[in-house]
Amino acid sequence: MTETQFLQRLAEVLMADQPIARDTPLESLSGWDSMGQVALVAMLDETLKYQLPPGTLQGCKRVGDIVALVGQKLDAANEAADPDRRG
Amino acid sequence: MITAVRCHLPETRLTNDDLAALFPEWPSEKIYQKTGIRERRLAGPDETAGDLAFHAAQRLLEDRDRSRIGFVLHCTQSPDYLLPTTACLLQNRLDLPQRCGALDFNLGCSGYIYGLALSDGLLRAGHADAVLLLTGETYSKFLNPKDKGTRTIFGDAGSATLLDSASPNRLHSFVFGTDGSGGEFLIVPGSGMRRPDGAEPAGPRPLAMNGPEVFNFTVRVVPPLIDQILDRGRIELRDVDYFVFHQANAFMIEHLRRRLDIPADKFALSLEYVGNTVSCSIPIAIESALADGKIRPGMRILLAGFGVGLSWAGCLLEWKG
Repeated sequence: MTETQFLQRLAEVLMADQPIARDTPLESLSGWDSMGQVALVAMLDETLKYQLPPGTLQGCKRVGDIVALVGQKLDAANEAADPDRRG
Repeated sequence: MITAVRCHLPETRLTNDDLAALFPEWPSEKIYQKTGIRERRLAGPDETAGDLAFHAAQRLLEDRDRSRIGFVLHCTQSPDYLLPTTACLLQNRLDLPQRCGALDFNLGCSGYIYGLALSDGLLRAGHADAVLLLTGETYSKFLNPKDKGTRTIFGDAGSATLLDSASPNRLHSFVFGTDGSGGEFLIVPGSGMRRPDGAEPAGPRPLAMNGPEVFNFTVRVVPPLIDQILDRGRIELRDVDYFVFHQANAFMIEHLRRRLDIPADKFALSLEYVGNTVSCSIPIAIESALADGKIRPGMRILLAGFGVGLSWAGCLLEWKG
């Protein structure tokens, strides 16, 4: 999964009515409530097999904070999807 | 070891329609879709966790010899009193022998598994011929009436399980885990001696649940927990005939089921008409699976509890009948 694809999934999960970018404040998204955060945890686990370290959610202020957390997983997912990029 | 399981629910029902009337932004059907729960039962003002456990035990012991019981264990986080111990009062109310040991232990969603392990230990050590394991919980009394997040989830209940050294229904491959650093994610501040930030007056605040963190904890610990139980039992996932997880909410445990590749027909989902009943959820699921024939003689069942503490545990149960 590329970062662009990840941002699209994130926009769906957090019910953004416009495209989101790294600097989008999470508070500006209507879906950034406890249910939306639960859906985010499920999405990260399902699509990236990624589990957040405890207590990190409350530190996330912008979309980029979430991207930074999963950054390495995104690279790994890209490599798995595209063998030519390996090595 | 497990001979029989019985549960008891209080009479008052809180339906999704009742909740939708209080919180119009959450229509009845949306609550069901998000939680898998249609209604929960609530204890009355004068009804305690000890009462719920008592009624479950009366159902269980109706036609059984109480003199064989050498220990009564009661799992609760909403005891009748801080002291005396609710299990001691239940020894008397249930007409159990005075040579019976009795103790309460304080755990939530993982508590039933810990109770099974304690019972198993007492029986194996020869300290008792039979153990009565009770769970009783009235979280509804901790909830902020305005907190729709917790009011949609939690329901009250009691359960009673009889374990006997002569029973062929063996428990084994126990695995335990604890991460107290997440204690704040599910907490009733002021419910004990520690005052929240020195606040006056002392006394309990409503239950505070950080749902996303609790869910994040379960996706972190439950898949490895299941792997460890299977390793300890030297079996594969496909060798398990039925799975009973703590019934936290349907979204959460369905996610875990898919993540672990467990077939839906082997997976207990029994919270629709009771909600999350904390330490009572696994015995409620077992009683209903036995009644429906989903657990049958010859089956191997995996049990797993996880939640407040944070605490988790699981084991295998060989059901011979």
